[in-house]
Amino acid sequence: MASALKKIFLVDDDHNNNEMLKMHLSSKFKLEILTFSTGEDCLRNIDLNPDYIILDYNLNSVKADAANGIDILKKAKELKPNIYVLFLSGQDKIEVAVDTIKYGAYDYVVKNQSSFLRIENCLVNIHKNIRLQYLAKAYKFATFFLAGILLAIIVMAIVFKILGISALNPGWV
Amino acid sequence: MEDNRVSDLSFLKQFSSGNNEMMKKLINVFFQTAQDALLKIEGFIAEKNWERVGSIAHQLKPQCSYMGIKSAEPIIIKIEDAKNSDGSVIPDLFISLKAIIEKAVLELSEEVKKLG
Repeated sequence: MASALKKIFLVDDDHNNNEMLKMHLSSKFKLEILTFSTGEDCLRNIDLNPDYIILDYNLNSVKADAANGIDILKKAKELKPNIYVLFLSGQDKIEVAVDTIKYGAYDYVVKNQSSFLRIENCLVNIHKNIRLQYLAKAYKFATFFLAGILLAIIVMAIVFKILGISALNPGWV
Repeated sequence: MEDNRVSDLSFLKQFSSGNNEMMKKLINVFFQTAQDALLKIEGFIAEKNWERVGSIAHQLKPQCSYMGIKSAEPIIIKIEDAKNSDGSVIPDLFISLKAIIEKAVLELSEEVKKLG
């Protein structure tokens, strides 16, 4: 289970799918979940700073002129470059999946009986990646810090040697 | 006859972890979704608006998957493909799809009764 309370947007024109995914994710993670039936609604609320968006590709069954998921992905990434976008779509054409990844989606999941579990796994993997990135940064910082201390000791030792100060006979004793 | 069933609630049972109320809710939402979709598709077929027929049929695909209506999925895929080529085959495909979904709705109504 993820420990931090993250915010997630579910964007699907299929209300039933949104509700089922919401039920599933609520039972697995501590998440603040908001649902939208069009990508335009999602973008209007992007300032709420979601950590993740789960986006359908075809979003026009309710509103015929609604933008498709790739257009929404591009706009969301433009507005919030660090956002994680996952696609959950009934569209199983490979070229659509490739395009979503090309434009920055984290993963593409085809809607079927295993899709809820796959979305769950994606969120766990994202959480692990974020943690690893954090650890890598902390490790880098610690390495630089220790290297700095070591360098300071070496410099001090050289200076002491030049000045003829011995650690055993520092001169002020 | 058990063999002639077109629906299978195995996934829904697993998904709802045996919560009958949740199952009933999801099945009832499916009834509404399917009924709305079939009505819309009929309307768009009358207008020969194959693009919209394909979009509405597409929405039904995952719902049929969740209700275990496997025989509906290949028909929906054919409808989706036909919207970009030969739309004239869509009305016949829709008749088959509607028959399957109506049968599934009858089966699922019986399941809802059993759930109490």
